[in-house]
Amino acid sequence: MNYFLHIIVLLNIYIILILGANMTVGMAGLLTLCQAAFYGIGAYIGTMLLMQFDLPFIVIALIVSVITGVFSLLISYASLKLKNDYFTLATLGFQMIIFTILYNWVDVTKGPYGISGIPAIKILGLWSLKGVVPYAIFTAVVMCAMVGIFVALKKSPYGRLLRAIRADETAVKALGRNTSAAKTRAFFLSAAFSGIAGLLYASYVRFIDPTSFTLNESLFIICALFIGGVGNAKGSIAGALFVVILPELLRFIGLPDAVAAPLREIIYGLALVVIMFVRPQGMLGEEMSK
Amino acid sequence: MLLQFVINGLITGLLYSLLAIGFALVYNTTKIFHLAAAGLYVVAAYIFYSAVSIFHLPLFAGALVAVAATMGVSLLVDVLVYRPLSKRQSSVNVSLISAVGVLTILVNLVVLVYGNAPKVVENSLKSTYTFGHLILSQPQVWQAVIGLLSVAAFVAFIHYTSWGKRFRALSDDEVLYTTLGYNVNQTRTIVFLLSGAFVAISSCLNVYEVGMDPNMGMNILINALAAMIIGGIGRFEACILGGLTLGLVQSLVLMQLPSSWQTGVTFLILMLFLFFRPQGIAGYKQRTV
Amino acid sequence: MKLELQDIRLTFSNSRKGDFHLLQGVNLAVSEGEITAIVGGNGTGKTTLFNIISGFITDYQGKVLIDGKDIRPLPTYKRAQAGIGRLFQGTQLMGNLTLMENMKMASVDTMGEHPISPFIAWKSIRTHEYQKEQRAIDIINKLFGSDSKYLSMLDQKASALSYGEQRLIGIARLLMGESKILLLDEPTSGVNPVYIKTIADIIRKLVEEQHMTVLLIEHNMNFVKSLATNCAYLDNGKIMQYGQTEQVLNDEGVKNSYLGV
Repeated sequence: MNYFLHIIVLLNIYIILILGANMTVGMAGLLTLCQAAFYGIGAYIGTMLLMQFDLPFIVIALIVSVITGVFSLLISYASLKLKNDYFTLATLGFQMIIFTILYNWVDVTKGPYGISGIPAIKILGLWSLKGVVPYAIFTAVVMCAMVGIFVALKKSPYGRLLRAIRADETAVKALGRNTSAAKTRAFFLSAAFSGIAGLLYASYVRFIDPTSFTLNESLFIICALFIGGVGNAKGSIAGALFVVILPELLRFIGLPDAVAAPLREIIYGLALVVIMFVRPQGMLGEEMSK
Repeated sequence: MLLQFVINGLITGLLYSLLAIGFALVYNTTKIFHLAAAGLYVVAAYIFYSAVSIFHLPLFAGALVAVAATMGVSLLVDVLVYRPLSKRQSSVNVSLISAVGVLTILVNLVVLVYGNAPKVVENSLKSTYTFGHLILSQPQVWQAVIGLLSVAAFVAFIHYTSWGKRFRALSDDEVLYTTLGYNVNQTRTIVFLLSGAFVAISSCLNVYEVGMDPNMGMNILINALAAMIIGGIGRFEACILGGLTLGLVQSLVLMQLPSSWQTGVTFLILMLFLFFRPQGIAGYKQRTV
Repeated sequence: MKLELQDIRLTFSNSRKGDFHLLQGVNLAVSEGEITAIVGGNGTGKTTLFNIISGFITDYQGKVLIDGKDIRPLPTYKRAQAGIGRLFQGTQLMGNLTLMENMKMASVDTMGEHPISPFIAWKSIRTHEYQKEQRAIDIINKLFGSDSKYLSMLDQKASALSYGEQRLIGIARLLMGESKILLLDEPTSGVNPVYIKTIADIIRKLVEEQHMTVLLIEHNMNFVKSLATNCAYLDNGKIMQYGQTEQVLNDEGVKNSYLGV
């Protein structure tokens, strides 16, 4: 039972992460490869706040959102100056730089040794979440709230503006819209989503080190997003289900870990290639073309 | 001391140049952001390892087998994945994502067969040569010699055969290229074979010195990407300039900072170029309107 | 609103072939409330000139004046807000948006386009959206009649329309805004003769009823003759001829070098 709940917690965290990626990749049509960097920033900032201050979750989540959001301004700046591949490459660079800092700035992040003994989340300053049951419930609540925010944004005129930018940014500018500001906000939201996922992860696992926030993790998130589908919430949920459940299924079949781990990755890779052929927008995604 | 760092840097840079050429061949002609090159790099390394350490072939023969096999896999990636996607006129993002898929598949096939533990090609202690204050290891000498020969061969190929021009023409306009009577598929075959060869040469030369693990590909490829940007996207020769520059700068930074900062510094340089001189050292601004 | 170009110059540097001077001092005072056509061969910089006016190209020399004020510091979207509307060459609509959404994107009303607004002002968003819908329906009624098929297609993706129809809606969309100057880049290219007449009618209506200033790039000389009051001939990076349309198009130099007759 606890094992099952553990999977639920991971699933909730991944849904939030993938929704974050979906904000930029799916809604605004900008391919970023640095989601894990924001995830990591959220986890480390969240850890420091949890360890230093006795604050309720909502306050910490807000601070984490704002700080990761501020980091996203670097990506926004890149998106103003660079297009397509160059922009994606810059986000890859950002990912590498953040990882290097997390790994090397030992005084603050303890580098490769990681930080352990991270305190649990407190709700309303009263209850400390202990054990997997409350975490499963709590992360589910946060996940639902995030899905709600995503859907509301998608349906709002802001969502429409992002879709318009995805189709033809030049035309949108000529129609009097500040597209840079709109994109900056999308990056900010995307980073904030990832940051909150990082905070949940850190306080649940109670130990973090930089290896959870690598370029591979970013690629993994993008894989999950594209397998599930871009542009809407159900695609992100499907993507998270796929990548979280598949390894468990393989374990269920009884494959040894040395085989199951690479096999799982090969299946992800194959799924990704096949989906690019059959439905480039992902299983449940929305048509990306003009 | 300084000279030692400069030479080390240039030799490393030469290896970046080779990989950058492998990437740029595909990127400049097909616009595919060929991240799968990182997978090919790993595949080449492990074939080299198998040939030499398991089947006990001589080093040169092993390297030749690795290069030939990688060329084949490279072509296979194009024929099975990229080419059909190009036919459907898929977007740049779609080919990039599928490249990530191919990369994942290749790397994990290697993990499946060889496991995650690092491997070395030869366990024996390698000899070193001393030139005055300069000390070069035997692998470094090979890297310098074969690297230079490969680069020279490439430059000659681009300049003295019609292929250089044809690659450029293909990248400009595929439809026009077909109408002019050239065979796109044939040209792409040449591109991917050559690309595979350069990726494999770079890989073999590098892993002969430092060994391998299945996750090394992406880290080295991003250095090559940085080299390509620094040199100037769109021009093949610029990869060489960019690679040497990057290797040199990294080496000089290593004099000051621990090696774990290297990637961060590389990307800082890359970002500076992206923002302030996106056309690279050798590039020029074009009319884009 | 008055649009004036003063000594516009634009140079591309290309280290291989040296500098290329595309525009070498373009001067043009566009008459208010009239239609002015810019004609000239391919690659003479007509669209580039439009890109300079709408702010897509910023490294030009010279001045673009709106009502006597230099608009150099204004980015594209602010120029659009100030009243410069633009119709681009090629496809017009955002294909992944519905017709109605395309119309709404052209409105000056940006209520709800900030991500925070759905959470603090969803009621107000609803009212504004309703107003925009009404306005869009009004415009389509007025331009195409109340029995037009577009009214029933409002919730369909714009990509469902043919190219010519997209250009029509693309022009209709400009009415959602409050533009005072329209830059129309080849409004009739790739459009069949029936629509060409409709487009001409719409443009005429805009000028007569809303006193708009129109600047238009066109290769269709019949269209230019029937519509434009003034005509500017762009060649060698300069306005070589400017005056009444008939006069410019009948000029021997223009005939020889551009019209080829």
